[in-house]
Amino acid sequence: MNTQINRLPVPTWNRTGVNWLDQKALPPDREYLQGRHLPYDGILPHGITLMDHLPAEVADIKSGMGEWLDESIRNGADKTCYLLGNGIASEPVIITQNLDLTQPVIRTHFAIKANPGSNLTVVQINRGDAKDGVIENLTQIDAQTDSFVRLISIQLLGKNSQSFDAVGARIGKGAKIELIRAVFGGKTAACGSMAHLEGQGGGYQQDTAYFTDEDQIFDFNDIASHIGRETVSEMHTAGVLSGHSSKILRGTIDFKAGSAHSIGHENETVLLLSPSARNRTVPLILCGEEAVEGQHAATLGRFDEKQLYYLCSRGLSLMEAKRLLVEARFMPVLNKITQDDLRQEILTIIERRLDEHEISS
Amino acid sequence: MSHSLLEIKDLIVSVEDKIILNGINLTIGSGELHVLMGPNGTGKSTLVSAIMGDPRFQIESGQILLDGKDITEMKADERAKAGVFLSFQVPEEIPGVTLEDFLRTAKGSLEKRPPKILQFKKELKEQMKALDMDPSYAERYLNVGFSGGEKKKTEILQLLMLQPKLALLDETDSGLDVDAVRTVTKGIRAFKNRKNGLFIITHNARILEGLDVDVVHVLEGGKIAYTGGQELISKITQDGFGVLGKGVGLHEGL
Ligand SMILES: Nc1ncnc2c1ncn2[C@@H]1O[C@H](COP(=O)(O)OP(=O)(O)OP(=O)(O)O)[C@@H](O)[C@H]1O
Ligand SMILES: [Mg+2]
Repeated sequence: MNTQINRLPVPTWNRTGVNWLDQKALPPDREYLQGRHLPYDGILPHGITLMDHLPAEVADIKSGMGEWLDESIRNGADKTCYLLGNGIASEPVIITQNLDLTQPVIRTHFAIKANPGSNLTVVQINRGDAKDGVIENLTQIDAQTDSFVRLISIQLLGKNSQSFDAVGARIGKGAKIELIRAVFGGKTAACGSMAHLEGQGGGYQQDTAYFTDEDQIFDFNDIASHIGRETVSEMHTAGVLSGHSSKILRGTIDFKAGSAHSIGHENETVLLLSPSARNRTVPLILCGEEAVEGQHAATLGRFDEKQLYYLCSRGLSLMEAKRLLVEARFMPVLNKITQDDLRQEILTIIERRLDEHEISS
Repeated sequence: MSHSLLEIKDLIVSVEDKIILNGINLTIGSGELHVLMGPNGTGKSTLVSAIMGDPRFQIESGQILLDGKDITEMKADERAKAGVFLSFQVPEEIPGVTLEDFLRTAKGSLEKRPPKILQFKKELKEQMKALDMDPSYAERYLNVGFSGGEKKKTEILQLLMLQPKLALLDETDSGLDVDAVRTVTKGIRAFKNRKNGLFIITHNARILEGLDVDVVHVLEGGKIAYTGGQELISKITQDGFGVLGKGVGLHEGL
């Protein structure tokens, strides 16, 4: 088995440093206790129930982080949360996991099976911190015909911990999955998603926003695999890099034979606040089918002086103008977070990071 | 007698080490509407940018006073707080910030406290209606995907919402259809009062229909080459700048 994490589907030969997760961001080399697979015991809204056992066809859905990590979470999970959606869920399920001294390692196996026509939203909030803390999540989603699943993943860990967030999603006929990510914390943060667009007319939308500072290492491996006809994927990533941090984004759109008339778009914007921050992006579009449309776009840069002047001419101070432009990048993600306190918390983190950046620069 | 709202003394402005404005003197009294005309590339936008505080333009010497207060050294946001507003010739697009959020933030900065939300929303709705703007535009990202004319209208909307002392309008009528120009002029009429002032750059003067113009300035060769009354406008729009003769010479002859 390939033990690499976040491996580019087709490794490059000339820039080998980007092919998979850097050594420095691997999970700490230590003995893990065998997880106890404790099932979720929180309350669930109408329209969502817990499954005692995970159907094999859901357990087989590959994430974007690679088999090795998928299997290690599946086998070693401390907690499980297997959700079944039926009909329209009355409210989102919100699951908060907190790392601390008493619980420095959390491995959770999530699964979401959305029955035909069902509609549900799951919010995962990961926070807290511990020396050499690790949080590993695997979320496997099976969106059946005409269902809708929105997964919102918010990572607000402290800087002593590492996070691994693996998502695998199978999208059935006419079904739609949205993956919304906001990533701020952790010494290292690795996210890998794979959308398997199997059914005709299935849709996948991914919106990621992140903000790095200090020595943080962020690593993304996102794959939209178009299998069925007339499938659509939109993957958008917006980020701010500061300090000595570094980030790699591998974004792959893979049109398999048979995915005729499918459309895949990926785009990325990066705002560089510091010259010592390092940004790397590897877009990949694979075409095993002819009648498809695949597109990639990226912009990298500093603040736009003309935009800043325009905002200042309306009375905003330079700092307020910068803050507004940074917050603007997070809007596609923030707009989908309906919990006001969570939105506010994220806005406060953005503000604090900008303040720190202003002071240090 | 009206007191002077804007006073510009011997202003010299350069961009990238090139002198564009070479000794501008100009006074706008409160309650007055002044028009600035001049051939392309003579420095009209440069003048209003220098008044607004665009950091790309360097003020070499001279003074800009607003309400008797020297604003020459101030940054753009401080000038805005002092009461200057510029309707841009080319407004910026700001993805991720809705028109409404932007206006609320700007108003909060200018007034040093966030506006009362219901009152603000009501006012915004009314002003948009007065400008024939679709209310859904309040929720759209500022100027993103707006047509040229829609952007200009949005500038006037901002003028009406922010109520500055001095409004500088840089070719707000360019790119507007016949009806839109009338709507914008109506907006300007609603804005104008005895205390504030307007400085309007225009090539075709369509925006001035039905407005009382107090003074017309013509910019040429880095200087105000000619100053006169309303009658200058029709002269220029009909016969071109040539009718004024050699601008600078005329000015010196005055
Ligand atoms: N950022 C800049 N860098 C270099 N030159 C500039 C810059 N901005 C303006 N200029 C130059 O300054 C001069 C005056 O330009 P300005 O835009 O003020 O003219 P204008 O009178 O507004 O013209 P128009 O009627 O076409 O709008 C022009 O020669 C222009 O090329
Ligand atoms: Mg101009």
